Parts: sequence; structure tokens; C-alpha cells
Amino acid sequence: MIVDARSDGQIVAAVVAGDVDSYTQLVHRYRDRYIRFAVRMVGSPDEAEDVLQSAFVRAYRGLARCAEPERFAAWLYTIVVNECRTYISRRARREQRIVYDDSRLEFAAAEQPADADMWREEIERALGQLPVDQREAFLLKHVEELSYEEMEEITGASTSALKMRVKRACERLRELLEGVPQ
Amino acid sequence: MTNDKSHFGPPAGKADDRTEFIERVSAALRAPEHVSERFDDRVMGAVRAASLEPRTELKAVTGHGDRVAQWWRRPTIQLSPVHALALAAGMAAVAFLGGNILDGAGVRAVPAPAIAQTSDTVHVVRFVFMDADARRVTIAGSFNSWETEALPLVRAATGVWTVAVPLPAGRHEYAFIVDGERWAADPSAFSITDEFGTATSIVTIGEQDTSS
Repeated sequence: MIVDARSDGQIVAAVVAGDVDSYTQLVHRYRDRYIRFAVRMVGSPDEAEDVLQSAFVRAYRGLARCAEPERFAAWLYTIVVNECRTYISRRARREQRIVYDDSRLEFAAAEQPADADMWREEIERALGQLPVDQREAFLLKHVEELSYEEMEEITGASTSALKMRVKRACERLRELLEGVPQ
Repeated sequence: MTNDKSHFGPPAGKADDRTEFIERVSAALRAPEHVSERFDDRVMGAVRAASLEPRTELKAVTGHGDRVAQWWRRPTIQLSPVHALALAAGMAAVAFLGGNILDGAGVRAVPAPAIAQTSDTVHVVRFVFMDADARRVTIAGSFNSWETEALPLVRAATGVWTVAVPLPAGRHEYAFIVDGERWAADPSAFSITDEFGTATSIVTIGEQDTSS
């Protein structure tokens, strides 16, 4: 793909003006940034891609309502977070257990040292047992390394609420992972 | 390539107050993930399909809008929705006034708002927005597919903008757009933050109004 030197704001303006093809630049810029968060939230790379695709399409539909086009990345992050929540909520209502992609884990087992593989598996299982808001807060804070101010912006929750969620997530992860060989 | 304004993510260096255990957990989860080869094609296929649908929200918003939080500085007055029969009499007077609105250039005739003639009851709501510095104000909402330019407000007096909109019964979301770039919720109405992080106001017509 040819690197596009335009700013996010310029690309947003072009897309809103009718240049749909320019939107692919935004997809290319941010797909890798947000896929990891989506995978960790929903537990499956395939499902995470579906969620991320839905987020990009939803962002396209609402592009004219992006109040600060130069901050498209943050605005898109809000949509990705909401899409993950919605997907998880719908999946829970279908009474499906959160099952991680077994084929992916088998591949990982074949390629990675056994100890590292088990540790990663256990972490992902523990993460899947956290309430959605705690999982989300933990990932944003300690994996995506956002500030609480940034987390406030994209989740809509207060800093005090986010800190409590992160604290409880850390405590619960410690309980679940205590004794697992690292 | 992204510009500095769009940076949103981890700062350089290690975060503070992170225990060793949490750091080990986090480090494992920070392993990169990648989308499949056809991800971009699938997304753009869906986007192009969406672009062929009747345009709803995709309209130009020029410039860089202020943070919507600025709306609280601009007090507005919104008249509560009333029953269509009661408003019909009121609208007759409003139509008279609407035809003689004075702006900075003098008296200007403004066509009275059209009221849909349907078998369902249609209520007419007058929205009022106050902003002494605005040059142009429009209203967009769920009732007009969020068209940002279709419903301009008229300056009824210095700093007072108004428009009457016929609405069917039900719940409607809306926001004002100032000078084509700044989205503003109605401080006198019940407001929410929509899925795009924008503050929008709610008016409920035809049933007990709990929106203000």
C-alpha cells in the first residue's frame, strides 16, 4: 500500500466529501493498533476481526459526526470499545461460554516453548473470567498503557471508577494465576 | 503515517506503580496480534456497500469542531412539546411571526414550516438556541437522518435562533450545529452521549415527557 501523507483529519474530510476509497488509509493505519485489544477482550482472533470490522464500518457511517477529525484515532477507539462490549453482551445472551480459539492455542503450543504457552493460556483464561468492565479497564491500562485521562475519554467512566476496576482486576488475576508456573 | 495530534496510546517508558506480577501478566498480553490478509478488503467491501445505501449520516462537517462540552456556556430555552391540537392554534401565530423575522439585514420573509399531513398525529416542536456569536445554526436529529444542513434555524432576535419542526410521536435525538462545525447539545433538555461520543439531546413526543 502506498503510504498516504495526509493527516487523519484530511482523510476524514475527503471521505465525508465522497472519496470512499480514502477510508482504506484509515483502516490500514489503525487495524493493527486495535486488533490486539479486540482479541484480548473477546478471546478469539476470528471474532475479534469481526468486531473490528464492525467498528470500522460503524465509524464510516458516523464519520460526519466525528467532532474532531484530527483525533480520529481516539474517536475510533471509543467505537472499538463499544463494539467489543456489545459483542460480548450478545454472546453472553446466547448463553455461550467464552471459549478461546483452540486451533490457535494448538498452533501456539507447536511453535512456543511449553512453559510460555501454558502461562499465556492461563492468563487468557483468567482474563476471560473477569467481568467485562474490569477486563476492559485492565487491558486499556496495563496492556494498551493508556492514561486514566485517555481511558475516561474512550470509556465514559470516571477515573475513580476506572481505578477501582483496574484494582479489582489485578486482585482477581492474582487469585486466579497464583501457583501457575511462569 | 499518523500526525502528532492523533497520537493516543502508551507513552515512552514504563508506567508507574505496576507490580512485578502484573507486569509479567501484562507483558504476555502485549504480544502483538495481526489481522488476516483479507481484512482490509473485507472492511472496504462493507464500507463501499454502506456508501451505496441512502445517505443518512455521511454529510460534510467542515473545520474542526470544539469539544461538545462547550455547550454548557450557551444557555438555551426549549419549549416543551405540546399536543398537536393545542399547537395548531399557536402555530398560526408563529407562522405570522415567522414571516416577519428581523435579522441584521432587515425584515426577511421566511416560509412557515411545513407540517406533514398524515393520518398519524404530528406534533410541532419549536427548538430555540441562544448564541450571540453564531453566524449560522442548524439542527440535526433522528427525525431527519442527521442531515446537518437541511434544517437551518432562523435568527429571531439577537443571539436567539429558532425553528419549528413537525415531529411524529416518539423519542427523538437531536443536536444543534453552530457555524457548520460545532455540535452542541441542548442544555435545557435531557442529554446522552451517543455511540460516537457526541452529546445529543432527547425530546419525547406524544407521551409523558421525561426528557427535561
